[in-house]
Amino acid sequence: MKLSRRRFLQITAAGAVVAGPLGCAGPRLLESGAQAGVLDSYIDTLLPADSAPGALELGVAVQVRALVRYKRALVPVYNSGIVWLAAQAQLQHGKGYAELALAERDTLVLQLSEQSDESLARFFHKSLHHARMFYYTNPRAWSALGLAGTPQPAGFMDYAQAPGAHG
Amino acid sequence: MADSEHDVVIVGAGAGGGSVAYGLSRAGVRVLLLEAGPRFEPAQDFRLDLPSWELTRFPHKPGSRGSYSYAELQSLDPHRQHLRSYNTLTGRTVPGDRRHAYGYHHVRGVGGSTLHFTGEAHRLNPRAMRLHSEHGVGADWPLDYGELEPWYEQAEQVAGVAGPAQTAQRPRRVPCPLPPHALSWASRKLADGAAMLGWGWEANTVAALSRPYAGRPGCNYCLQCNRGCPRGDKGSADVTFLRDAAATGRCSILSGVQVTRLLAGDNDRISGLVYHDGQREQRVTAPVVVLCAGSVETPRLLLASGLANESGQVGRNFLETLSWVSIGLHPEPLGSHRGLPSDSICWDFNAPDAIPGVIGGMRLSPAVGEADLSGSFNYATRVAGGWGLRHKQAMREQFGHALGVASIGECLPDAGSYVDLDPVQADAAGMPVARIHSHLGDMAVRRLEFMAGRCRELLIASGVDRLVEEYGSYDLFSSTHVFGTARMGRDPEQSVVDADCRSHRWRNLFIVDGSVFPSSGGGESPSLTIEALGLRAAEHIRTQA
Repeated sequence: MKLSRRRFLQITAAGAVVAGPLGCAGPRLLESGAQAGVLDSYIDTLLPADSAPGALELGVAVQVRALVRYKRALVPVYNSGIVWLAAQAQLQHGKGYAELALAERDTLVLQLSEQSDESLARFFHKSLHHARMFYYTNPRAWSALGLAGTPQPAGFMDYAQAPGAHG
Repeated sequence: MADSEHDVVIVGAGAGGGSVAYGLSRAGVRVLLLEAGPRFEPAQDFRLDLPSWELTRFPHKPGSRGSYSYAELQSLDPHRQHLRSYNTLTGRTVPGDRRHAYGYHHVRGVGGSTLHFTGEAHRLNPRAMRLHSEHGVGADWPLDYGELEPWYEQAEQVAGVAGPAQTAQRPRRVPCPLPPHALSWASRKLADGAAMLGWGWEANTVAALSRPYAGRPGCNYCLQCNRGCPRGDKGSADVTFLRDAAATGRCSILSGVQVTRLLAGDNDRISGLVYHDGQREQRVTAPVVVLCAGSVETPRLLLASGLANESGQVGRNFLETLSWVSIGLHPEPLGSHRGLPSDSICWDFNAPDAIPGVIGGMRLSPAVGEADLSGSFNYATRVAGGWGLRHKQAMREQFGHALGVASIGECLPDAGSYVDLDPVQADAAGMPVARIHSHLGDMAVRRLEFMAGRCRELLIASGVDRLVEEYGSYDLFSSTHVFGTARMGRDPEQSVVDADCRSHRWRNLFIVDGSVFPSSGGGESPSLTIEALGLRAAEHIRTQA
């Protein structure tokens, strides 16, 4: 059965996928040893906390992890990126990626975005898309944008007026 | 009328089928309506209250999209790069040098494509109905605006149309049933820009309620008409014509059944039809048949049945949606995620001779809603881009600032644009799918250039200082309004049905959908005209057939 993005979000919100078919044998995300914490830190670097919550606080990495485990073709793609980030953090800073400051992690993301390697390019574009998707479907991300809520049930009865401080 | 279980069988439950069913059932005629797609339950299916609302455009169900294919589209002229579709972050929409088939956007289901329409309820420009006699192109309508006006008025009453007392270039005997909606804050910027250019900019006529009406609530301006209206304030056929038809007790609707062929009988009459219910074929006798399956499915069914094509015009004269959209960012916060998608309109260029050097007009209207640039995910991917703190800062600075203009223009018949049966591809019922051929001639491209120019001009006059995305028909076949494939006319050798939507040969066969339009109009949305034709045809069927 094809899983729509909306349906996947409904399932992950309920925690079903995390406890579902994920324990089955098959490729696994690299998240131990040198790769420990890389995915969480990377996702939080893509959408860090400022005056609005960051991706980590909103559970985006948990949802991304669940999605990747569910769509197993993504596992090698994500692993290639995780390995690259961990290796570059060690090479350039002598530390694990998760131990770096935000600016250092951000610089590595910039370098990642410039890689011509097909697998790394795919990782960057897919992971950025997934992070945005889960982040911006969390209402806690919206208030900083001046977005009051979902379109329904209230609608936007102030539509003819100037917007507030944002938006 | 014959003495059988049903007096009339209608194929397709959209604007055409709904209005015919309404007119007939309320006059005491027993109607069976066969719909290939599913039923939608607005409150359950159109979940705009979920945090993930933005990730699904229209929530299609199994069977709610028909199968069709495309013939190869034309190569693109390297001298017309200014008409290529693009996004400033992601680059060209169509990477190659050949026109790309993006989609024929429709809904199969009870309510048809009105389920995802913006609700625009336009009357045709009377002059657009006389293209051939006045300008020597296309074809004339076999009836005039005056003959259609009483039926327009009735359709506006049933759908609940809100709009100004008078509308430019399309005279009204009576005002719209409901007062116009106030323009959104963002649309007022466009109105200011239009005023600066000396153009008209007026409240649009829309089938969206400006106050409670006929048991339906007023609109609450969520901008998401294209995702389906969960409240029922948008005047889609399911909550208006079909609701009222069902209430008579004389309109039965069978959903999920696909009609696969019409059966020829004696004396130039259709004897019945065959439909597939998902498991097996069924036959139904039909004293009168009304085809309302749209400009792609209607010719497909006629061609597959080998009927009603005495003129050779079935499938020919395919008229697509000639469109252009420009989106930019305004320096001021507009809150442009609020309002009605198409709350206002410019008709200044709508007349057939309004564009210098070409025949056929166009209109302009707001675009942000239909372009789906109203939620944070789309802003993140199409406007702000990037990642990190800079991305989040850009989101805060840009969300709600998008301002867009859309233009839809006349589409004239082209020998390279038609619908036929795919010689290879068939659907699950074994029926050949419709194959779309589309070709834009030089005049269409020049009209498109004018449309793109005016969209950009209006955005600049409205204060937009940066374009972020533009797309249009030059390199994308992307159609919602399609017409012409079973056109009406006085001459049986040049048309498929007469002014009453009746087959020139088959005396109990009627067609009521966009396929009967001899011309597209200069950008008018077609649903109200289809509904007016449906009510008029119902009256004819009731009294003559």
